Amino acid sequence: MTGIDFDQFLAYFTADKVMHVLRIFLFALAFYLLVRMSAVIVRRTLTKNASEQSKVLIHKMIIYTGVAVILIVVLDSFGVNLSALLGAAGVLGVALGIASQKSLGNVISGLFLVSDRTFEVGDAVKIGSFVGVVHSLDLLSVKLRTFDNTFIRIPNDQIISTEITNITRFPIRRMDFNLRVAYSADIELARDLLLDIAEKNPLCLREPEPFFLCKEFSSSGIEFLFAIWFEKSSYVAVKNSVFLSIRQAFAEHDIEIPVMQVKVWYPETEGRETVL
Amino acid sequence: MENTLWAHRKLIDGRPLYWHCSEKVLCFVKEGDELLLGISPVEDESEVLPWGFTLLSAGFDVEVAIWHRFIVGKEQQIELSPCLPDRPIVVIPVVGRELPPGRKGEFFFSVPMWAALYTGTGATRVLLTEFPCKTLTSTWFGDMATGELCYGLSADLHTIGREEDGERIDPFEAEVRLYLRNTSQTMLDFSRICIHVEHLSLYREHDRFFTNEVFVIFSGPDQVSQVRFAKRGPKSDAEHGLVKEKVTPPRIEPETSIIKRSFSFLKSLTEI
Repeated sequence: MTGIDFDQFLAYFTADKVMHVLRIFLFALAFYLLVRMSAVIVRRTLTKNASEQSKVLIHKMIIYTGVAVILIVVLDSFGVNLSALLGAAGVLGVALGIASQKSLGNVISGLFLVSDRTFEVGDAVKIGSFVGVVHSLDLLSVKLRTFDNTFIRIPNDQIISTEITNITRFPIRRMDFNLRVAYSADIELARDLLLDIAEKNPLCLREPEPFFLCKEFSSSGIEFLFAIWFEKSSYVAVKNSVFLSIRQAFAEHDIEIPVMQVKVWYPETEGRETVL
Repeated sequence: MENTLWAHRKLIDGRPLYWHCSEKVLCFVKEGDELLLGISPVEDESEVLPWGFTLLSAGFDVEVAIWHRFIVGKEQQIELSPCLPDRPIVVIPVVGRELPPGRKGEFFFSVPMWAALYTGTGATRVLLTEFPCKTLTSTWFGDMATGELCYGLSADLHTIGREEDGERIDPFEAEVRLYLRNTSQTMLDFSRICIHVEHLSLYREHDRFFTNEVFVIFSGPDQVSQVRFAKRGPKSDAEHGLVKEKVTPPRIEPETSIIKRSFSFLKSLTEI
């Protein structure tokens, strides 16, 4: 920059112009703080019942909209031709849209997922073959933390077309035990023992009541279903305690849980048998 | 005679102190700055000693006991005080009742109490832990999606209170007086009553415990019932020295008009 250019540059910044820039800067700063404050207030008060991801989305939308308005006002204050700029932005938007169709698909899928409320941050879900706790739900992807503590990122547009199971959506769940006892076993005794186990286990809910259903006479024994209800957070404790109680009660009362056995006879050596 | 059940005790370093109730034996040991609390279930009821504090260890099984350690500093005072459970209780009447439209009824039933362990006295009194004296089963009240986790209790609904029926004394139970009013056009066949004990205060008259009264207005099976808790405790008979003193305030202060689903019919529970 030459000395003359520098002088011209300095001459441009008259006291009025400096004051004008300062005013715009102060306005932008004040408006930005106001936008952030509004976003926080809206997030804390108006969306008490909204999910965490909806709150984040609303918060971001308010801030992005506010920043866009500030930008337009600031540019307008500096005399920038906005119509030309917006036209150029439109062209740029179309170009970017074509170039990033996949990402936009993810963003739109993300919006659908948020509005659909199929799951929320903290829910245990099964998405396709992945099972884990929802770590975050972002515009492009959903992040899962699996139960063995690995991190999985699944693109939103993939999720939208996949079957989703929300394991912890409802506060209580049913746990099914598919059991089989030998034909020699006393089924009524087995039923009474199971119902007693459920009654004595403080983690098993009294209502909805435990469920017992004789299913079928199978090749190796009588099959039945025993189901108990529990509060979703006590899954592991219920599974272990009921499982051990069943094992113990059946053993104490000589109720045999049959194992699959195959008997092979050799016709040439009559009387000899081998159990595999 | 001194009450040894709900009382203060001063612990001596290294010397165990026991507390017996119907289902548990507790062991307290002070070791330096730490207070050890062992909770052992009673396996053999014949080993249970008279309830309350004692130096005898009968019934306490060190191997099966669950131990807690609290750092209490030099504090040697402990106190066991009764309190109400931390979740609502669904009372399932042993014998069902039906209340015709426009009628009202008055019932008494007992809810099991919990024990709260405190250390220190006065301003230095600190709650260490709480535990149920009688194990309660969990149950679900309401529909699958919006119901709430409660304790389930099968109970007799009496039409006269303990004050008139001297035989019904249980030091681990508190009596609730329930006023029911059926303002609906249908018969109120109540198979379940959900009592939000976390909104109730506990009162004591010698060895007997009471809660404040509960008023329920039933407006129909599809309507929410209006529940109100008496602000004052049950009436005392001061002339005969029978004064009911407040032992514990409610865990959660009740709102002036709490609308809760207080009645449920089994049909509301989805069958398998």
